[in-house]
Amino acid sequence: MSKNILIEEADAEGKTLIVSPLFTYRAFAEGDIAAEWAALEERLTLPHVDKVIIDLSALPFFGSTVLEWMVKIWKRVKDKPGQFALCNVSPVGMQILQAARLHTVWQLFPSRADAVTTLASQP
Amino acid sequence: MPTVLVVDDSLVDRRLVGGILAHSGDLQVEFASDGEEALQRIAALAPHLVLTDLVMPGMTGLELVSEIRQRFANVPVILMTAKGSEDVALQALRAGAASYVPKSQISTLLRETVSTVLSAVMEKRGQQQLMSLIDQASVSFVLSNDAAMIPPFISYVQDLALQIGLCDSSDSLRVAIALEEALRNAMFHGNLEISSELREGDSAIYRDVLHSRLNSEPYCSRKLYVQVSVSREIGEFIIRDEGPGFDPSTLPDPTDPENIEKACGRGLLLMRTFMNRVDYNRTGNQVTLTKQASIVQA
Repeated sequence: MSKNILIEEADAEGKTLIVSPLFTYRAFAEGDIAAEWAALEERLTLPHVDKVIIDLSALPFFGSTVLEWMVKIWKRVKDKPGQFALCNVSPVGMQILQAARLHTVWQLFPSRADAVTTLASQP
Repeated sequence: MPTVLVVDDSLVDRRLVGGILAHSGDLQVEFASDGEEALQRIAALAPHLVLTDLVMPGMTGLELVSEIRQRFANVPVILMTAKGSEDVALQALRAGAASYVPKSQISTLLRETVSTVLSAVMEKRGQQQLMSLIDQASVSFVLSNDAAMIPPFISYVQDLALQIGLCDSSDSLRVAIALEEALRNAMFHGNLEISSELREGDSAIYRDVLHSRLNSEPYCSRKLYVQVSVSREIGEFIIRDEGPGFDPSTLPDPTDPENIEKACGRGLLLMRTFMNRVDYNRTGNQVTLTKQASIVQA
């Protein structure tokens, strides 16, 4: 089975998850990522996980479905409370975030390393 | 006459390969002695095909394949490989090379391999040339509520818009995003009457309702009627569903901080962001998306 969502830990304690959507915009069909989404949801319920970075390097453009998916993750992390950030956003991706005004509430970083370093310094 | 660029650091091999290719008299053969020179000559000559040695000082044949794929995606590359470099040849094929010829068999295989790849190139170029001559195209589709049909439909419209010259590749992504949103809205909210609140809630309940609607009347029999009309100046995309319709003015503003966490309204927002006009009919079950040309015509 092909992997649609890659989940990595950015630190030894497993506090920060790096989530990389690997599904293409076109292949994002209803229900295709259900099982992997459920696995991610389970990880997000772990008490020590309080930071999530979405790495968009493999997803240069996306629509409202992916925005909703990211909003769901953001809400879970925000309610903990925790930190949420995006990195490697393409120019078209940035235009989409700006249209939805989500760039005003999400932390955006040019690279994964920048995101990891900055979030590590935040409580 | 098709042009073939031969890239090899060995003068002897360049002469050998050039001689084999020029023998038939129906190819123009040009030469480069390394990867850097090859990239400059591709930019200047726009060859139909590049034939490169695998092992060269500086940029290797494998690196050259990657560069050509990125910078000149329509130019196919054939690799000439020495004995024992089959693994690298395989890597090159994965990186986008069209084919490879072992150097030990150049005299018997080269012309046939070049001929096969060139035939495909010439056919593709002919199709592209023909498509660029289309003045205006109109086509209608009747789609069922099968989300799997959305990607091929969008791919078709993207290709059409690119080939006619309505938009460049970057803007065609924006057209694709707007169309996907419009089709999803019409399919899921229109025909299947699935609300944003349901999408936002429990994923399992959402999937159950979706499955049920896809298999029960009146939802499952409803169709999407899509009209596409594209010229160099303007693209018009009309999507009508058979649901009860809705009043777009009642949608909450998704950019309002109060609504920013809600799922509602982002599809329409992206349509309006990436199209020049978005108009609904009075019933709210038909949307017309209009895209003005992003390429200035000469």
